[in-house]
Amino acid sequence: MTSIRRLGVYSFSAICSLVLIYPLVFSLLSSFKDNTGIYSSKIFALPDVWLWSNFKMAFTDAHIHYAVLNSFLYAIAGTVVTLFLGTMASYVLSRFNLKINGFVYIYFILGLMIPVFSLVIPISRMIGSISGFNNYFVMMVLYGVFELPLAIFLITGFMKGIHKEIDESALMDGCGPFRFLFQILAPLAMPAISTAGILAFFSIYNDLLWNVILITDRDMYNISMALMSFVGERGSAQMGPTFASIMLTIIPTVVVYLLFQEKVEGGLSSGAVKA
Amino acid sequence: MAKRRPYLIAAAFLLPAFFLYTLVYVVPMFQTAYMSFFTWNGIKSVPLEFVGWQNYNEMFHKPEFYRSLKNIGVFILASFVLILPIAFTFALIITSKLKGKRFFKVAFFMPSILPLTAVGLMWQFLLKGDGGLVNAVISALGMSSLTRDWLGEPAIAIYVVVIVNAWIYCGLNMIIFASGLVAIPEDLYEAASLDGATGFKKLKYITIPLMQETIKIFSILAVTQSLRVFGQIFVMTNGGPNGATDVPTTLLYYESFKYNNFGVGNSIGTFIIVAALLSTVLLNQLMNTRDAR
Repeated sequence: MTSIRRLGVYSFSAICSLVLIYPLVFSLLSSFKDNTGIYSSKIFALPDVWLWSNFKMAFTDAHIHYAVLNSFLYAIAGTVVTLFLGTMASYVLSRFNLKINGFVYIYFILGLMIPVFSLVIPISRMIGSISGFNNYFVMMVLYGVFELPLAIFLITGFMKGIHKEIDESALMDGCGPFRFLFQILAPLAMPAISTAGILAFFSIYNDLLWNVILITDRDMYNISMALMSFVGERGSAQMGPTFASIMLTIIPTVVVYLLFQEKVEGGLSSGAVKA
Repeated sequence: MAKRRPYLIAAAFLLPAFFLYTLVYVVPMFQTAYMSFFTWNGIKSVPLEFVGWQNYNEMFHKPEFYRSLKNIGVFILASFVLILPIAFTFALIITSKLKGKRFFKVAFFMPSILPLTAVGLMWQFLLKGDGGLVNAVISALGMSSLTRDWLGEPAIAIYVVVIVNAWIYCGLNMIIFASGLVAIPEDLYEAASLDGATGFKKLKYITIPLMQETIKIFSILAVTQSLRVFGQIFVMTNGGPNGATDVPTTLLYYESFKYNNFGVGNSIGTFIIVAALLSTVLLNQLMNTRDAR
């Protein structure tokens, strides 16, 4: 009885894994094929000839390597901005006994409820008025601030749970607020800070909307824009290079995920749950 | 002097975040609401023109607007009939004592970490009418009559997008349910086994009642995240065919940046903000009162 049930569970899991993973494998195989190879409805076929030229085209025509670099640049810089500002603000919100703290906290948390899509028009107008289109610095700060409410929410919550006694003993030893925050409190709050960091990183790396609205310079495209414009130009005429480009943008996130598996799973879900 | 210092330090640490957040979130939020009473064609030198409620009037008379609301409804419904049961089953599998559950966990979770644009474009090709993988699989299973241009037919396009959306996000929700499942104490199940409860009864009388908190969180997420759907639609269908898959966010984008009708864009934006705030507050309230009873 139980062995039959186990078999059932295994086959269900296997079928589901196949449904979830096979499209990715198919795309990977397709990235080595030409159009005839992709269209020849042999679903499980390996490429007849491994067309590495598809990947070469993804580099020379779609500039995918620039796009991946740009996405990493936006994501890393934006994450740093968000963690730096967020940790400092959380320090005040969790450790100082100020009357306005309650209000300020809710003020920040409001940002979790507002879909940023609804703010595109005023923000693009604001960026236009300071001639800030196609500007790395503007993008990094914007990305960083968009992730701020969630970072403050996660980090403040965690810091509140750290015993207040260490504040007093640090104060007794003559530790200033700067040193206290960055050498004592922040290391203790690392679980929350790293969760906030992972969430910010993935969200910025995968961004589509803000790059569409604020970037027109090809050299500054992130992965989303580079893929969209490449598909717009070539589309189904050259599916091989398109699949190759798609694969090149997917691989970095897979690598990051497999390296920090537990951390990413925990981070993404706790971020979603609390938001 | 000594009394004022904490305020100075607090200000130094808090103000950068406070200032930037206000500039990027709060000011634009009020601007969206304010500008929804004006028309503007997007050109910097052209002044805004006050028109009162006309943008809202226009918005509420657009069939596209109601279609976009219906599509949000489809996303919310699919969260409960598609994502909830699948993600819950996945969570049961990866928290069981099954051998190889690590592999299944990675396989189930993988799609949710991939870039949305890449995944969307990938599915756009896989769902193509000629030469797409989906049609090839269906033909291989001997059901050639069912093959079609999946994203090209207005009647079914939104459901296809919603299924792809479930493909992407089942894994993420699986982790949410799994974290609720592992919090249930093991001895409850042991006690139930001693009393003769079998697998299904344990699920019904222990697991599901104790998972209520997680299911609540899932329900709130299902609604609030559905309001934010943008990338899936923007990448896969562009709102088409014939506006059949429009959602409020894409509608806002096309009204503003395609047709230069920024006034209506802002009234849609205001609608999204109000809907998001209201649904979050109401849902939290609703879930809490039920808890108190």
